[in-house]
Amino acid sequence: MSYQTGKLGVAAGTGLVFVVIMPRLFLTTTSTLVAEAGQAAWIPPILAGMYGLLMLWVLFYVSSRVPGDLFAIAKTLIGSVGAWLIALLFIFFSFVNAVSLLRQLAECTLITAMPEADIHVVILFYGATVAIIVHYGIEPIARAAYLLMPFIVLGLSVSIALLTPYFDIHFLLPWQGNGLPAIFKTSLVIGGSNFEALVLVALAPAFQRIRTMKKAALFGLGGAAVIKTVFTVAYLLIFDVETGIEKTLPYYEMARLIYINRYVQRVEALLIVLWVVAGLMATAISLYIGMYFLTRLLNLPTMRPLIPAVCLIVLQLSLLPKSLSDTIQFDKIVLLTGAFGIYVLPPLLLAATFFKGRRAKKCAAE
Amino acid sequence: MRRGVMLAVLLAVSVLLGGCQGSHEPDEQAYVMAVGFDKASQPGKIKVSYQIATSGGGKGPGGGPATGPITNMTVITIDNTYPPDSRNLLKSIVALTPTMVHVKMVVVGEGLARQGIGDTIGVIKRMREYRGSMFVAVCHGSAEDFLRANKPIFAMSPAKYYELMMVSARESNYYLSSDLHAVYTRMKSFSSDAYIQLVGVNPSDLSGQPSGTPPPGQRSQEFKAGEIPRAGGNPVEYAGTAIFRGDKMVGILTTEQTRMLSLLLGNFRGGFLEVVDPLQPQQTVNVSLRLGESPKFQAEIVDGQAKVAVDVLLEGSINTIPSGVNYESAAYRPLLEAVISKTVEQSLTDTIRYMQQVHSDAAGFGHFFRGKFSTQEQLVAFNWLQDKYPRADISVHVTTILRRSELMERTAPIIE
Repeated sequence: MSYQTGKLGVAAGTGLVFVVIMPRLFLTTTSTLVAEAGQAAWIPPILAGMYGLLMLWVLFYVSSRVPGDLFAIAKTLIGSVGAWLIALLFIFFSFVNAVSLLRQLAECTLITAMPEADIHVVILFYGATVAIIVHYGIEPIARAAYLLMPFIVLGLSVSIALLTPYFDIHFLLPWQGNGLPAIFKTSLVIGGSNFEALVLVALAPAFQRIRTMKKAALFGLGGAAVIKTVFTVAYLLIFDVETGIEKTLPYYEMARLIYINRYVQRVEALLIVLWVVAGLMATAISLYIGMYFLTRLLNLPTMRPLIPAVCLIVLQLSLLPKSLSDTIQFDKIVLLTGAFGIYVLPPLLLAATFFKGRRAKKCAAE
Repeated sequence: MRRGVMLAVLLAVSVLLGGCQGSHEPDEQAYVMAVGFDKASQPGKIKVSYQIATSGGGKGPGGGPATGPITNMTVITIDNTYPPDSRNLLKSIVALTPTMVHVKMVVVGEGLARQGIGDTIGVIKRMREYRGSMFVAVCHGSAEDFLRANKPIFAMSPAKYYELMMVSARESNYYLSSDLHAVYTRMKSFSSDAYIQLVGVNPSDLSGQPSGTPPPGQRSQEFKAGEIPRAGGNPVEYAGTAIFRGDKMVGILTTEQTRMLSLLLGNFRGGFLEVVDPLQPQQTVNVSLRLGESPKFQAEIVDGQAKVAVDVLLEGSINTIPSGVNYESAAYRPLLEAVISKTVEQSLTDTIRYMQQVHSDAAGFGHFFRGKFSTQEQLVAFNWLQDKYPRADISVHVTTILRRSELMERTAPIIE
């Protein structure tokens, strides 16, 4: 069956998790974060990363007790209906996430690089690219994601280093920003963007060992959280809160500011390529996860015939929001869905594991 | 086979992308090097001037280096318009496609700056062709006059001219390089105000007069752009700073006051200062100074009153001692250091008082109170700019250490 995942190691798992949760950094999320948490906007990404790791560790524990992928685990612990609901949640989130990413990427392409292009053509091009990527399956995607990682890290690090002349340390004060409740609330919502990190458990058999998954989670999700935090700190140091909340594309605005001398300036064109590639990879991974669950749910022998149909539907759905502003609002709903998934699913399965274990002991005693 | 099909599909799709259709050859574009905004004759509208370079910018006949003033720049002014609309109208005037991506300088006329630049800057910050790293200047007069009079005398491209003027600002600190990003960020800040370099057109007939009275002990004269007594060279000059409250210009700092501002901002890289000779007051001593370390600010709130203590350390070297007094020696050096400290201290105090008087915290004293609060709500309620800053108690202490005396160890008297 073509949806069989093959074998994935620590590097591929790390790349997969890192690339699927990073692209929002290149979109509007950072300015939304600043609007919600103020000067403390750098705290939610690290808190969200910690919550995400905690939830993954819960799932790893469950996975160590019940073999199989997430669908099989859910079926064993909470029955077919529960497994169906979980699969539906994954399918829903993955597809709406892909819809949101695709539209935002297309809009950003128009704003930054090709103002005269037709959005339909750009989305069609991106949709076709995503379909081709998904066609190759998760193993090549994961390896390509791992290869992409150093470029993302390097691109961000160099940009931030070149922007140090603009830093003003006072912009991080008052340190609590909009207050502690706002920080925690924002970190919970932003945690929704880490939902796709559950791909590690969703495809558990591919990783063979729990240890492999743990390492991939730590480097992938942990690394992404650290980079998001560093990026948000740099963003605040440059723009302060009042102008930081205004930006549609924080990373692009930062890259446009780079001016070292007459010869090192206008470097954003190089970086646009980076975030478009990362965004398309993330969209492809998201679509793959959705289709994987769809295939498992319907017990289909192969995923490939679904690819053109699903891509076409996603592509058309992505054209539904009337404006970029509507898309950003839609993305907030997507993140809330992800937050629901990442905070509800692992505790639910953990409770089911304990309940099942206790019942098994009781039955054995009787 | 499959790969071939995929490649064909990708190529076919990429051809449809608008990037290629929207491309323009370099010689089909009108490169705007500077944009000027002035008050228009009709209220609510503005006058926009575009300084456009032709594609052979900075080149002489036959493509070789130019030898005289650059003449391949033209200025087009459109009155009673709005920034985006003026762009459309510009297309009706030039055959080439106007492009703003190479704009180096945005000049705002003093009239418009005093009226408020929020709308103008806000509009261009939203447009992708303008970027935060573009330089901004306020013209002591009209921006249109500045752009028309600007004839760089040394052969170079207009872009290089503007960049060099900005990069070399640190040589004297009589004007401060300011960019769109910093101006916009400070305009919206709760704890600081914007400052923009002042430019002007000089009549070049030696008629310029100094501005204000220098503090006791200071012999250097103070000027504003357009008022330096000189003849020859490019008619335009950069001197002083326009300071803002919100988006409105509320005052002008002279060249020396601009230096004081740069000391407070911690970006004073160096410059000459002429002070009275402590032992022979009729004589003048010239020293070059620079910041020994970043200035230290101690902010506190006592009974609702904001207090700031500023500590400035200056390092310097002696350049000329016409009196022949041996200020290089340990016995006399402290006398000169004390005079310099006192002079700079007085100058700093006067500059701060002036900025407080016009309600402009261009030095960003408010930043040092941000750490006193836990949340943004508390910071906003503190109401620094409107309430606390104008009546804040700001004191300055300057220490000067003359570390060297250039290439002369001691001064021998001239035998008459």
